[in-house]
Amino acid sequence: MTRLFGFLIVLFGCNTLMADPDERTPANSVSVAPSPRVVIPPTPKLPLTNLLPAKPMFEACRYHYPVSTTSSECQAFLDQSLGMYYSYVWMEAARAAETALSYDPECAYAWLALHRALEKWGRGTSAPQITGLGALLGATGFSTLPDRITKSPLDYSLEMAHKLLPRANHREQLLIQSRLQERGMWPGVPPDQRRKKAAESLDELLMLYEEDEEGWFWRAQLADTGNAKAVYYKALLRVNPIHPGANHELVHYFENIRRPALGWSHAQGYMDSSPGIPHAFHMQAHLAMRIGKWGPTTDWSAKAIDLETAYHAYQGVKPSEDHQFNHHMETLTRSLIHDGRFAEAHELKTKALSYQYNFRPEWFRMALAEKDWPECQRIIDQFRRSDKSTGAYYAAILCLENGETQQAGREIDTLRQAAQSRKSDRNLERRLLEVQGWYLCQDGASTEGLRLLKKLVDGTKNDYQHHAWGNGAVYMETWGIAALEAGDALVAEEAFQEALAHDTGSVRGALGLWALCDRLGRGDEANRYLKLANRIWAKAGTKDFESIKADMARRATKISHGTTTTVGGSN
Amino acid sequence: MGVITRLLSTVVIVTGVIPALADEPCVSGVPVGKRPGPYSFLVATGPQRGQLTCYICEQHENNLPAAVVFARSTSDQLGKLLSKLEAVGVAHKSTGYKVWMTQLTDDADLDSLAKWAQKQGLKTVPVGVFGDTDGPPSYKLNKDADVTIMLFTKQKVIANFAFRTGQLTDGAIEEVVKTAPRLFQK
Repeated sequence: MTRLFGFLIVLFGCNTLMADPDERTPANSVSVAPSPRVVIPPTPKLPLTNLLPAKPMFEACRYHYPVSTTSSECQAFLDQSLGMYYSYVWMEAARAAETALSYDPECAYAWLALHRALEKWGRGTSAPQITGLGALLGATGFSTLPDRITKSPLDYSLEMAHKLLPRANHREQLLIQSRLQERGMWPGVPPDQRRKKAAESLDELLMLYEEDEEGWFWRAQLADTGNAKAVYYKALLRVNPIHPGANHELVHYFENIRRPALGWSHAQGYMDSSPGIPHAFHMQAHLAMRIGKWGPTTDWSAKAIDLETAYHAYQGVKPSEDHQFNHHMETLTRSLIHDGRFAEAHELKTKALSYQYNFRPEWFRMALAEKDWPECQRIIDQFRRSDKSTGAYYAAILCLENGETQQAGREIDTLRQAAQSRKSDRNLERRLLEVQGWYLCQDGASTEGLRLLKKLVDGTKNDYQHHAWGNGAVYMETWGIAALEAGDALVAEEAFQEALAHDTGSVRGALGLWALCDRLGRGDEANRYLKLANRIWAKAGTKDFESIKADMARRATKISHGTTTTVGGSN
Repeated sequence: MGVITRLLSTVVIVTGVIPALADEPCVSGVPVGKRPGPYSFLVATGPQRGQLTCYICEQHENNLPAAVVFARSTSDQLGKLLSKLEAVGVAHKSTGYKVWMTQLTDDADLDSLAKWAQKQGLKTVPVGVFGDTDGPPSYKLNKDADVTIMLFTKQKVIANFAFRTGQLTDGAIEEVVKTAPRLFQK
């Protein structure tokens, strides 16, 4: 009995959306300042998403899709919801859609938007747990309860869109019908015909209203293959060149089909479409790191983090609730360290640690470049606690960087033992080849060492996955450095040129070639490479740039002055 | 009086020097006998469209012949040069000969470049963009060279041509094309 009363209280509290729309107070509509002595009641959470109502972010995305509502607030929050949806900010999409419904509960398309957002967010997919009540009322009694109680928010929202179909315009009717067909909730659609029928409804929509942006987007979603989807997105861009969804999807699409350069204009279009949404400013990095276009992209990634932290504060979102945040932070960390922007990377590291994020491989690279040996050791110790072989790998890198060849050998032994028991671990195999090759070069067995490093480079240079996130030149840089240390000008030149060919933003590639050409008296080329290196690290600290430059020059002293190569303009 | 005389003499000297410089052969690119190093660029046409590609690497891997063209601007004359270099390869398909053009520009527009290539009727010649007007440093491309052409085989340049803006005449194109068969000499 107590449980029944408790349930009824919950039911009363949750049921605001079932009430007559005219009797309900829209969220955010009261703006009278309370007197100082009045205790402000907490803002009630939205019943379906269990989130506080959305605050306006109407300028965050420029997308506008007019729907059947007379409430300008409902329209504005629906647009906000769609903009967030197209940027994969599922929680905000759901929050804004439900907020839109608080202004017009009869807006069928807002119900559909809420349904789609809940599906992606992964919340609201299960029906309320009311087993006690079910037992009390029995099956018959339970079935008489309103849908709001018995269905999951996901199903309930689609059901509401269905019920409100007669109040929606023709376009919205076809969009909702299509979704109902896809979900098997439309009469006369056998299970194996759902997608086909859903697509047919959207084809009818687009035949009648060829400029319907939602129609094009959802028709793309129902296409069978990636190429077929892309064609619909491209058609949508003819209607609206800055459609956020089409541009965003095409960035992913061109990255996935291994033609990242073709996604570039869409990354720009995506940013133009969504000037206040962090993800739009992050996405260009997906392409840039593959094609070596770092510079401005790093600034966009930084802007993404600024926007995101502002958004967290504004909507009261915890970083842990934002599934994109960690990835955006990691991407910016990589970019800043790649570009030698260590001061900014340190600031970001402090922030990341406050969120309990860890980007140790990147931080290790930074500490190494800064010659912060205690920090390198601290990170290695952290690695060793959880993964002995990773700790040994980074320890070997540190030793080789410092010329402590024999100690590096001991770390490599640990790595080799691990590799024997993990023969299918390709990452470990590559790490072993890298440090073993470099070690042999330092230990006087340069022919074998350079052979191993070339093998590593040959095995990875055409590996698209390996090239993601700016990894394209890493092994080539090691190959070049090891060759310089071994006094092999020919191999060093080949290696560093490969590094620049695979990552046009490789400062080690450019400075390695500067050092080599300078050593060999090829002044014109040396100047060209130095100019390039300066441009790549244009925003780096002078001290850091000079440090890495001096390192390369020191390594190049192993090259004999009289050495000739056949590459480029050498003598 | 003195100022005017100096000014006039400066004009005379400058106007005399400019044609003299223009007559000097333009030196650009990897010299004959040297190995062109790897570089990659964003390809606008052909099977590698949209990809960062190093054709030098592909050709070097099997010591194959190639004609590599760097251009700062596109023109009908450039299209004609590429078509003729492409035609040279028809009789030598088995050699693995390849021609490509790399535009040097800070502002990559692959779609516009692809349209230009289509208009020029190019069939198998990929064109693309290197996003730095200096070009790959090891190529030592001359800023004054609007078009630089290198013919190489077995990883060594066998001929090198460079033309300032407006110098890529029909005669110049013929000069390049008649050199190309040397790529196939054994």
